[in-house]
Amino acid sequence: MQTTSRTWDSLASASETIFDAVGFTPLVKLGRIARGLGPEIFAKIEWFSPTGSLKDRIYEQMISRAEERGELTPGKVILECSSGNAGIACAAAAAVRGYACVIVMPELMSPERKKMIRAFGAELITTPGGESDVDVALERMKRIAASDPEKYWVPAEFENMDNVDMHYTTSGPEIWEQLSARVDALIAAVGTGGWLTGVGRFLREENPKLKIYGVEPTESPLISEGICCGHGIAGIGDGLIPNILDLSIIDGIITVSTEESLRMARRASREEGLFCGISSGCNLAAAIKFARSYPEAGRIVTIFGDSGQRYFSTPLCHDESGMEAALQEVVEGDREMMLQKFRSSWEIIE
Amino acid sequence: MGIRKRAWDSYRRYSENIFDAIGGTPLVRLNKVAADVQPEVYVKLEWYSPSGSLKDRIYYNMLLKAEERGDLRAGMTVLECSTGNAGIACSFVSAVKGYSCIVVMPEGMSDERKKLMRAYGADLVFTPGGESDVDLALEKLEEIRTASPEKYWVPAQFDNLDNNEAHYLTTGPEIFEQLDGRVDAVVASQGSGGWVSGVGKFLREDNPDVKLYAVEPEECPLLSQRGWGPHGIEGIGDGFVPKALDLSQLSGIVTTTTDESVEMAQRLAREEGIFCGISSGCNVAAAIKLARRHPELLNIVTNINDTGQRYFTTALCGEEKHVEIPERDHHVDPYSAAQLDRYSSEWEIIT
Repeated sequence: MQTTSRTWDSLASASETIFDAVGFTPLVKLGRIARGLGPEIFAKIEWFSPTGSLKDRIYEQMISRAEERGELTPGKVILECSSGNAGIACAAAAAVRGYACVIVMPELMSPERKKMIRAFGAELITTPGGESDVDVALERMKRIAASDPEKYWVPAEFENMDNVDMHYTTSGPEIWEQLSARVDALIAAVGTGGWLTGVGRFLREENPKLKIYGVEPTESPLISEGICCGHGIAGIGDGLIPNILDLSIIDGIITVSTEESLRMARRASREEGLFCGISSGCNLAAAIKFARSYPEAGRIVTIFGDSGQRYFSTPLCHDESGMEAALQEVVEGDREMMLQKFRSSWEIIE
Repeated sequence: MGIRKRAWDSYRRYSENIFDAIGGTPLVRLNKVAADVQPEVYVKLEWYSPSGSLKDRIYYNMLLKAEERGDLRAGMTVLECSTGNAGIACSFVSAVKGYSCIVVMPEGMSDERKKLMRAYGADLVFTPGGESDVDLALEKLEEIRTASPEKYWVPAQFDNLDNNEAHYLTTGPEIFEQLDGRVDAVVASQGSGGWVSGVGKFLREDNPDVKLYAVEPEECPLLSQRGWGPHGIEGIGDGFVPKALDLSQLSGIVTTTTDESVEMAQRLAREEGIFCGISSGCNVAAAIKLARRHPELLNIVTNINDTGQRYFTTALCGEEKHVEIPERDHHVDPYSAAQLDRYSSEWEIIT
C-alpha cells in the first residue's frame, strides 16, 4: 500500500485497492492559454486519482506512517479538519483501511464536498464561516480531540510533516522527470503549504535557481499584507499561516482575485479541455501573471488540484449560492513577526 | 490514424495536450464487496480520464476517424444525442479540437451533466422524458440535421463502429495485460454497446471461452424480455438495441434494479473507497450476481464508468429526483426485434 513503491507503469497490473492508484499523474502543457507568452506553462493534473484530488497522495501516507509509529491503532477514530478535498481523501482512506472518520469543516463549503465525505461513510461536523475560517474549524477539532485523546488520531495536514514529505518524494520527482530536468519556476496557491514546500524543496535542490512563488487570494492577502477576509477560492487562503509552509524558500507572492480565478478556470475547460476547480484557475492565472512579469522564465509549473465536478453549485457553474460571508481578521503575534521578517525580501505580483 | 493504446508509462514525459491522457486506466480488485463470492471481481476505473468517463476513448476515436475520412471538416458543428457522459466527452473532444458542439438530451438527466457540457462550451437542446426516452432525443437530432446537413457532423455513438474499435484497440488490451490474460468473464451494462462488444471481441480472439454478459435495468428489460419502462440508471437501458451492440457475442443478460444499483454504488464508496455513478453500481451488482451463479469463474471484470461526482443531485446522494415521463406507447423497433429474434434464445438470463 506504500505509494512511494509505485512506478510510472504500476497500472500495468491490477491494483489491490484503489489507493494503489495514487500519484504519477499527467503533466499537461497549456498550449492555447499560454500562447503568445514567452514561457511555457505546465499543469500537474491531480484529479487522475482515487477521490479526484491532490490530497489522496498525503492521506494514504500519513495513515501508513501513523500505523508504523503505533499512533494509529485499530478501533481508533480518524479526526481531521478540512475545507474540502483533504476531508474527502481522508474519509476515503479511512474507509478503505476500516477506520471510522470524523471531519470538521466550515459550513459554507460546497454541498458537493459534504456529500462526498458522507458517501465515504464519515461523520461531518460543521463550524461557522467559510474558507477563510478554517481556523475556527481547527479550534473545534482540537476541542473534540482533547475531550477523548485515546479515541482519536488526528492527521493534522496543516502541521504533519509527512504531508510535505509525500510531495517531496513523489510530486517533486515526478515533475522533474516529466520535464526532463528543466524547470524554472514553481507557482502554487497555499492551502496547507505541503505541495509548495515539498515540491519546492525537491526542485530547488535539483535547480538552485528555481523561482518559487506562493499564491493567495487578492481579497485575503494574509501572507503578503497580513489581512484576512472572505473570498471564493475553496481550498486556499484558509485564514492561517500553516506551520508546514516553509516561508524561507519563497521568492515572492502572487495575488489573484476570486473573479480572475473563476474566469481562468472557465477558460481552461473551454480552451484546453481541462474542467478544473476554482483554485486551479487561480494557479493558472498566477502562472500567467508571472509569465508576463518574467517573459524569459522558460518553464513554469503549477498544479490543478481537483476537477470542476465538485463546484457545480458554485459560481464556477454560474450559480451564486455557496459564496461565503466576509469576516475580517488580522494576523497577530509570533507568526506576524515571522511574516515581517520574510516579507521585505519577497516580490509581490498582483 | 485513430486512437492508440496509451503506453503504461507515457506520463513519464509531459503531454502536449490533454488527449494524451486518454486510457491506461487502473484495474482494481474488489475486496469487501466481493468477500462472500468465489471469483475475484475487478473493476476498471474510467474516471481516470480527461472528462471523467469511459466515453473519452470513443469520442476521440470517432472524431479522428471522421476527420481522416473527410466527413468532419473545419467549420462544421459536431451534433450528438446523449444521456450524459457521451455528451460530456463529445463536448470535451470538440472543444479541444476547435469545433462547435450541440448535444441533444432528455431533460430529465442530472444537472451536473448539463453543467459539464456547458463548461466545455457546448449548446444543449432538451427533449421530454428521462433515460428511457432517448429515442425522442434521437428524433430531434435528425430534425436538426436534416434542416442543414452540410453544417453538421453526427458521431452517432449508438451506430458508429469506431466506438467499438476504440474499446477493441485500448480497453480490451489493457484489461488483458492487467490480468496477464486471465479473464474468464466480462460483464457490463449496455449503453451504446461499444464497451461490451469492443472489449469482448478483443478478449474472445485470445480466448473464445471468455463469457460475455450485457446488463440491463430490470425495469426496462429490453434484451431479456422485450420490455420497456422508466428507470433510474442514467447512461444505460435506452429502450432499443444499438447497432454498436453485437448481440451475436453475448453469453447472456444480467438484470439489476435501480435500487440494487444505487445501493451497490453507495457500498462501493463506503467499503472500497470507490465513489462511482449509478450505472457503475449496476455493473458491480451484476458482476456479483454472475459470481454467485458461476462460482467456477476465476476472474470477472466490469467497468466503473464514471465518478459519483456527477450524481450529487440524484438518489446516489440521497436526493430524490422527479422526472416527467411522457405517456406513450413504446414499440420495439424492427431492427431491435429482428436482432432479438435471431440471438436471444441462446442467452442465459440472470436476475
